[in-house]
Amino acid sequence: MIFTPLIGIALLVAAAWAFGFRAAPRLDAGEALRLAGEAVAGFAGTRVDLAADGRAALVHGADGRTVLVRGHGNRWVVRPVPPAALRHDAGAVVVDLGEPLFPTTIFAPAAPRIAA
Amino acid sequence: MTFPDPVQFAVPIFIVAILAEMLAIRFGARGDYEWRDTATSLLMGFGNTMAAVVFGAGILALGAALWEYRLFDIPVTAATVVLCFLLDDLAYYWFHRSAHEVRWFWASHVVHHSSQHYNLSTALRQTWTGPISFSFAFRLPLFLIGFDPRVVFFVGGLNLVYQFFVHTEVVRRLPFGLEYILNTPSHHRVHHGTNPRYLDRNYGGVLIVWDRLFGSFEPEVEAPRYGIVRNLATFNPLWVAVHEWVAIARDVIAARDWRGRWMAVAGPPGWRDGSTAAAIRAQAAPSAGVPAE
Ligand SMILES: [Zn+2]
Ligand SMILES: [Zn+2]
Repeated sequence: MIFTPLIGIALLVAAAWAFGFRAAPRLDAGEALRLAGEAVAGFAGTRVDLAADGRAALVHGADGRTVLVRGHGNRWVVRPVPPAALRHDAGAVVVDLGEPLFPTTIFAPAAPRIAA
Repeated sequence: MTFPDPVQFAVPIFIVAILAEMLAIRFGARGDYEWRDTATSLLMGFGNTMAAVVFGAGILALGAALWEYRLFDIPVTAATVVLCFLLDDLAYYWFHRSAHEVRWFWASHVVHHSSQHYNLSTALRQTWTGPISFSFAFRLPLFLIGFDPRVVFFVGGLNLVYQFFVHTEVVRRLPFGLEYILNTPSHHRVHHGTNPRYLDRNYGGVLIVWDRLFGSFEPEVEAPRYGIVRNLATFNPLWVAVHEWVAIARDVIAARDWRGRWMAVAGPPGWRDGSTAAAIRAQAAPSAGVPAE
């Protein structure tokens, strides 16, 4: 039967899950700086905006560039963010790279906005 | 004489080995897994065997047809099987090097590098579009030389099975000088690394001597960061399978002239945005943190 391997696949994926290989680590500013610098040639970050859940960060560089670091399983995906991919929406920063199957990342405002 | 398909025989061993590696890591051995990453890798492997079922008969027939025009009548003996194994490994080196240096072949091979993990399940993360990229062309000279098609497919299977076992962080270095002649876990970790100094290095299948001979060898001196220059943000197997083909199509459409169209297909990966392996290496070279040799 040609689909027997699918049973083996299900077994191994269940084993990986059961062994606890399903962590979703949180970023800190230092690690976001390191990841952005490693992934984007010539980039040196100076300031970091962390998402509240620690699963994403916007790293701002001395040269004016912005780099997104985003959680993917227990690893990270890094992308330079063109200005057009950044917008502000009710105090939140929204990163929409327009890349297929790359989720939109929303950085909620740091503190609730108080109506003036 | 009949030759078994080594890959079919090895599948139960693969399953047991992956379970053993997970356990070893849980008990402190070096390495890591992610359950969805593993699911994607294994589904890519499954789809690869499905593609082989669909296209395999055609490739077999092509091999047999070329064999009719063979240069030599090579008898099937232990010595000629060994010779075929060595020449197949040499053909694999050039297939693999082209798979990294020519985007058309990379679009298929990138699948194997699309995980940020490096474990035995990564070995099974294989392309679904190999036959479409004509990657089998590199093996065709073996039929023309005159090696029995059954022997060519047999040694090709052995090569694949060997390579499964190098996809691990559990093993640091092999003893007895084997690191000089064999592709080992250490050498292949370098191959999967995106560190600038590791890009497009260590193409060997079973033997690493080809890399030493053709100038593409790099030893493991710093911890590799596994994956591709632009890592994927999804575990979706279909996107893993086709994303670079889609990117080629987009770049061909966006290209302004015929040179741009040609380079989008046949140039090195990253040509359009200046992120080729050579460019990244050149940019990284002056920076600190890369120890001099
Ligand atoms: Zn490769
Ligand atoms: Zn590999």
